[in-house]
Amino acid sequence: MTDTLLSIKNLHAGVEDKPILRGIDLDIPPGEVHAIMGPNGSGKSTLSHILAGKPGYTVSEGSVEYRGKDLLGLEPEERAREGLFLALQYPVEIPGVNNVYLLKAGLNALRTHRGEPELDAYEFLKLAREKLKLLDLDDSFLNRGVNEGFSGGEKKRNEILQMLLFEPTLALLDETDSGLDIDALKIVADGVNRLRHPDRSIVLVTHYQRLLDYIEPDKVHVLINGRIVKSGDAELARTLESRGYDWLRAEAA
Amino acid sequence: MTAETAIKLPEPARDGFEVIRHPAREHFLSRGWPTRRDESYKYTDLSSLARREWPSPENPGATPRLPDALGTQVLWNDGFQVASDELPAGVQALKACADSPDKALTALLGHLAPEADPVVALNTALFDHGAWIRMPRDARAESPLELVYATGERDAAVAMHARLVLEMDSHSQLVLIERHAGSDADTLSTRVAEIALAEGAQLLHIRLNEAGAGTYLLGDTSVRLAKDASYQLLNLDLGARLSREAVRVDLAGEGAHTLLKGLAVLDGKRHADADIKVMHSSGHTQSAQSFRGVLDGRSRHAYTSRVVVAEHAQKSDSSQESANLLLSPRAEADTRPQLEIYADDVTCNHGAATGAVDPDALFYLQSRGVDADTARRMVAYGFAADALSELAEDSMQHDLAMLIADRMKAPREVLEWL
Repeated sequence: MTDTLLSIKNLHAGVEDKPILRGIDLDIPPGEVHAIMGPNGSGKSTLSHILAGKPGYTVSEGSVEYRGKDLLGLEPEERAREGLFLALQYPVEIPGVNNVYLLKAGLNALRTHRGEPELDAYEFLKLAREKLKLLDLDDSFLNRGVNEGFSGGEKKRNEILQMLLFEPTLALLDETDSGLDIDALKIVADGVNRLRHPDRSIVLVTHYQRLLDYIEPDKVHVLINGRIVKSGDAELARTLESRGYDWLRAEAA
Repeated sequence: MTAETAIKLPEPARDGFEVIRHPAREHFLSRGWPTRRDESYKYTDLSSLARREWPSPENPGATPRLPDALGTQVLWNDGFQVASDELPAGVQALKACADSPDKALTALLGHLAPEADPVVALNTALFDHGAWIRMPRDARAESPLELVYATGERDAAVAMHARLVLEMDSHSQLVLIERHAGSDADTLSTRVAEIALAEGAQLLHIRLNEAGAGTYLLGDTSVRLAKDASYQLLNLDLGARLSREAVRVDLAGEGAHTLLKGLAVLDGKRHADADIKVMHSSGHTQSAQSFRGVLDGRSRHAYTSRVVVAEHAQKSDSSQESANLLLSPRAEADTRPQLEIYADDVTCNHGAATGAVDPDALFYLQSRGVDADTARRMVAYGFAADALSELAEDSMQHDLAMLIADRMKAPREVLEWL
């Protein structure tokens, strides 16, 4: 079992009495890129929210093990410090809280947890500027309120900026491709590809195959009605692009 | 026994202001303290204060510990001026003018403030310190002028009554800070300001309430603006047991504009009340208001704002915004925006919001490794910091941000960047 970073077993979960996930089984080994695809309402976002610890969901059955720990028993900040990162589909605007407060606080919390010394402001800014350059973002980005008044593309790039700084062990990207034009999509994909590493796993949650043209996944899973109904290699994503989800809906029923 | 018979007031000083002091005293004695039945005191209960006697101090208490100066200071301790070598240019202590006040002073003193208001009347009858400030035409103060009304270290309860009269001639510019600070001793502190801005004059007025836990602070600010004049107010309530500040702005000249911003950071049983009235008396005038509260414990924040657009004040523009962040379920925010529009070609907006810390924002910060308590304090500081946006004076940003952050116990992750 040591070769599995994330292991989800028979996960049932929902909001209040409404079941959304109906028995998910999924293993993610280190170093792999997995795509979870599915139509709207299939439970993709619920799955990524539950993994990151967002409040409001009830897990009724099943377990999630991450790096040998019971993930569901950890607070969201503990999950983050253990190297789990969720890039949100709808990043939250936090007026008056400058991006730089969040980025440095988050990075140093992670570093402290790893037993590394905190970065001071100078070291932090040097590192942050390197990452900003990769994403084609201006330095002034650091002093704006977190996502405050950002365009859709800026919000997504801010998520990738955080990911590049925090260097997570498991990165979950929830619909990071939605609402991006082709140039922004390439920048985001380039950021993700930079993070590919034998010790790091990446999960791309997406509705469309488009992002996978730029990030080649090792495995593709199809989520329909709260269950993974099919798994395969990158070829499966291309099949979905041409055939849609209906043939799998029929199979799942 | 009626409330009136219980009121005991010290005799007014026999000075050059007697002519306005006596009628004001009579008015206050016959009318009595305001009660919650008075419309503009609806949210502020002064009954516990009204039952007590508030003698004027014969001597000041020991000088309290005071915060670092933000500008060229004039300091009063329990109403007694603390010796400074020389007052800044254009500033005179009211006491020094009392024997034979000049005409420019008497033309304003008692004429801008609403004499019917009981707190104004009390202040007029008894004011014993304060300043008369004149800014000549085109003058520009090099540094902010800071008036500090301090509460001394003492056991006895006392009252102090400050008066400020400010006349700014055309196109002059000033940053004025009025600061309430000092010990936690029982204190009734009234302060009435009368401000006249001539054509094109620009005033940034910062009212900084850092008063001690035993202070009842009752203030009244009246401002009259001539053509193209500008009045910016930052009303920061960070202290006091109870604070009520009435602000009345008369946009009397065409093109006059005002920006009124407020922030109350309250906990325990503290109370802050901002009672605003803006008169658009001329056309092409602009007013914008934004008042916020961060409320913990059983604190209470009231904001009443009345905007009146006169019939001939066409092309006027006004906005009223208020927002309160409740850190405790027992805190309370009362918001009353009111509009009276008699002109037809105007733009008026208002909005109000009250709520707890956004759980999505908390989760977002936590999911980046920030612990829940730090996340909550970050979000609260971010909410409060809005008070400093649009502030005309960049050089004050840092000091004011630090005062707010300190009061709010903002986390070091915020402090290090201020």
